[in-house]
Amino acid sequence: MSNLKDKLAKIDRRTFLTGSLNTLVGLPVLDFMLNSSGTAFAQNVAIPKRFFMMTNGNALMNDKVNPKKVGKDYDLPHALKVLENYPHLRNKFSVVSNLGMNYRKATKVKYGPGLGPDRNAFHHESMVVQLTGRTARSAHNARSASADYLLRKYFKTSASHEHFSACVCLSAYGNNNGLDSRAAHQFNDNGGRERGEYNILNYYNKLTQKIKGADPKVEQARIKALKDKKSVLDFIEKRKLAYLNNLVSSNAKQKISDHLDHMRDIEKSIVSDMEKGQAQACEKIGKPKDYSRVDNVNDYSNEYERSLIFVDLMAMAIKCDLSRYGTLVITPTQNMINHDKIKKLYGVNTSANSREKDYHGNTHNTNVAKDLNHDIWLELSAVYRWHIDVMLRLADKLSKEKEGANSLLDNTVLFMPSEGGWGPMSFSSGNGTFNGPHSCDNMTQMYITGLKELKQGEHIRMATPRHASEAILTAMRAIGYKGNLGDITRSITEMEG
Amino acid sequence: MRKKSLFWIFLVLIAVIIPYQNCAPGFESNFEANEALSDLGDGGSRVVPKPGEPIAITYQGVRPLTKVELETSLNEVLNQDTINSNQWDTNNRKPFDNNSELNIYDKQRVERAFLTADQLAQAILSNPQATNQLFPCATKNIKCVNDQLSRLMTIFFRGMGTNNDLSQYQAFLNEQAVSNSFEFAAKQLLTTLLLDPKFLYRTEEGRVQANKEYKLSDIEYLNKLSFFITGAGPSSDIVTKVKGGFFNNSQNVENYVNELLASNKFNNNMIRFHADWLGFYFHKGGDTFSKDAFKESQQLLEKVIFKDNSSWFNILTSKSTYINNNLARNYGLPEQSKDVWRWQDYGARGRSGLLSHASFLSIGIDGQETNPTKRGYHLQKTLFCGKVAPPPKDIDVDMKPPPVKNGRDCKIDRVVANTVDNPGCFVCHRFMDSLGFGLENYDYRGRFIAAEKDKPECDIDGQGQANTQDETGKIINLGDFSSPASLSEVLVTTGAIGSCLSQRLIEFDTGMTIAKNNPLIQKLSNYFDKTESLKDLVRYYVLLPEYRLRK
Repeated sequence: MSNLKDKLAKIDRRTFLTGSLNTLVGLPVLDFMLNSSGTAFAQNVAIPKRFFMMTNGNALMNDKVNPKKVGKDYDLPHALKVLENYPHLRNKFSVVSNLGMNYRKATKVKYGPGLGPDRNAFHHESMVVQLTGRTARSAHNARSASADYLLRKYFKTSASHEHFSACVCLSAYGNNNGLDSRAAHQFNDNGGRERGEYNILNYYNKLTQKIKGADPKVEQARIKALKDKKSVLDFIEKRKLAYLNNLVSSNAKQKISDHLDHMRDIEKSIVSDMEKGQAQACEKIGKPKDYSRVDNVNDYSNEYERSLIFVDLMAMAIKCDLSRYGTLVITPTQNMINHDKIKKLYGVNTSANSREKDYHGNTHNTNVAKDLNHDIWLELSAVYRWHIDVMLRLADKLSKEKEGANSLLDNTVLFMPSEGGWGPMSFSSGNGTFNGPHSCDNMTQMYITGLKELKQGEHIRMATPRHASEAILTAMRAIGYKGNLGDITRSITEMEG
Repeated sequence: MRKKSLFWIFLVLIAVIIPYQNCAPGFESNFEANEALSDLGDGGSRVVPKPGEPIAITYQGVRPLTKVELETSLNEVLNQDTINSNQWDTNNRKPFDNNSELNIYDKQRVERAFLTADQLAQAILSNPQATNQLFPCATKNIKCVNDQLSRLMTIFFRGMGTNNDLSQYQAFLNEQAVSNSFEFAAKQLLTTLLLDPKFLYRTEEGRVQANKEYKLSDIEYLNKLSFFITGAGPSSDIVTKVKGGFFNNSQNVENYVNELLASNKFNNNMIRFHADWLGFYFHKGGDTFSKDAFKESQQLLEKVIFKDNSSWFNILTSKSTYINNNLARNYGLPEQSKDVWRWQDYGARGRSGLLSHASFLSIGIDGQETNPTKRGYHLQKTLFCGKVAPPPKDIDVDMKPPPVKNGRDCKIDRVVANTVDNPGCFVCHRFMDSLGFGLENYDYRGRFIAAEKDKPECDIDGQGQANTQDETGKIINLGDFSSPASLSEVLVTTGAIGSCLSQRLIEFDTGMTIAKNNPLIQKLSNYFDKTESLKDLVRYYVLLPEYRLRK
């Protein structure tokens, strides 16, 4: 892995930052470190715990992600070798294996999509079920809220606390068809799909406007900028009648009315930013380069660069207490990706890929699917490495930021669910039975945290398969959440610290 | 050549609604329903006038402008390409990017519009040329912003602004004027205009007439036909003229329509229409080969529709194509010592027109392999405007069918054994695979292949059959074909393509999915049958009295 380490070391995050150097706006003193008088940190003040998802829209091949050894000091299979670059995080990074999706039959997971109501929970539907803990309403729609919408209620955060929701968003399957739905790994209280922000500059602007300036002049400028924005929104709001009175049909009126309601929500958020912002002054990252989302399937889409910028944005959001929960979609389900660059960056130099622009499509090649030693699995594993590295980069940043006596990572869970696992695929009629990645058997999830409520640095293998949502729920409860995740009520005690 | 078969009558009425039917046991798969195909297979809400209702073309009151429409409109105002692809939210296609069912302003889109407006206003005002376009005053001060307000509202609201709007904006500007800064007032004004629903939405409401029909106002009509023909809103000059009664004279309307049809904007917009309809839009921003492939198709469309204004059928029947050496090599055509773009004859190679292009033949494939089912589906949907039910939920459309026991390991044999020879599957697959088979001799880049790659024993005979279905469920066989050229011949001689073109044109205009038995389709199709000119068809369509009616 030394080559890999060298290569990655050469690509510093600042490579992707443009404009001025990072601006130190003030000292990192978080508001929750202050007592009610706002003067001193009290040891008995509870530091809030945080929970973030970093989702992987691919199924994981077991032998590339599951250590052979259970417990601490586990071995590093191919995809996990990226951990070698972060030795200080080895004892925080955990792997939970032998999960499944056989809804309501979690103790008896059998084949592929399983035998229960979720037997076809594949691709996006698999994410719907995992993240909401309920059978999906349809392949792309949920019946109820996903984990971070439940946490939104749990935190009861003001509008100034950002629900972190972003998407690296490379192209999705089939000439980009359905990218937005496949990239929606969050579901609101009604189960409706919520898409993350993929526009880097938009999200940078949105986040940084919440950061208070330590310098009074900087702070004054921030408040003025927000006031200016608010006055624009106020004006549009005032014109509501002018818009509606000019329309005839109820359908048109409803559309515009809904539009204006959404604008009012933005205005509320701005008011909150003005009134509260976050009490600390903290380090803004420099204005990032605006890598746009590429919406075709032919070129490298700067996925790697985009992912690093979103890590920076996420780290800033956490360090500045702009956000305490949310999701970064690293890859949508059934994604198309020209992963030539990524596989090389992550130390795989094979050229087995006949569909170099179709990551998902590669997993459909039945001939190679049967050949577990085929180079194609190494190439796919390189993409797993990238996902894990994204999570580790964020964890690395958080581990280096003090929070009270500990680090930010000690109060944060970063959790990575993946679309599927590895199991018998019954499409193999006439082809013999073999395992493949279109399965919700043998699913593996990963998390990294310093929270004592969760086991740290272990490979936790379920003796009997457990529902993937139970692992998510366990991690949610570790930060204090008391409720259920959809129909899922049980935690996984083996994960508990 | 234009001999019509009796099938034409069926075609203008057909609705290929194939009943859902699972494959018979024997082809067991346990995969997801394929959303990409399901999206295409689902016709969505289809609008058909009830008996006795007026044939209205506009069906909705307001709809959001697409990203392309917003960018094109704004770039035109600024007279430069200030607006780049990073701005605004992308649109979902069905098949067009303006499909209003898929592109509503939800919470995220509104937020993006808000953040984008702020960024864009800043970008515009950082650009002296763009600033001068919007604020052409010698002295840039508050007065300048005030003086330009009315003009800017005309531009941004495309004539839909009212006196009340103007008063409100004036009051708003007065509030912003306290800083006495041009930059500030201009930015606030621009941000607001870019965020105003009157900029972000098209309004086609109309007013009720004595006969209870809703008729679009002149300005609404102007906007509708401008977006349809050019992909952008009307200029402030024509808005002013129309507000002054210019459209009271029908000759003026026709002259204006002709002016638009002669503009390069019409050319660009029709390329966009065809690229979305035929599905090759994604090549535009791709790698070198993709860009070349897009250019080849673009040039043919430009030549037939715009430069020559010849029979639209030439898009399918052209015996020559516009290529460079990269494409010549790909098609097995002679290369030239000097690698220039040129028109080159196909020769007798089974090729003609756009269906022979790499841009089109690269759709409905699996990576670098052809897939007769997927390609056939694309052909059914695109060229016949047919509707095929989504695949059963437990069928993985990406998996190869299992091989035939004791037989050759050839793709064609697997497909035939598992779909064609399987009655349960054939119910739907006859409308896909039999089409796909006819183009199997053309690989994922449009190269001719006689056998499967690395499998000389798997020879390809490339015999296809153009099956579709009328609204009663009766199967119609439009003829056999074995190449892009012979498929094109089938489409042209049966009139199937004219009907489908008319349907898609209306859908492109309205942003809605239109039922195949909508009488307007037949009306347009009848006209097209006489003229064969797309430009004439568009002119005919927008000048129809019902074009101004709203349902």
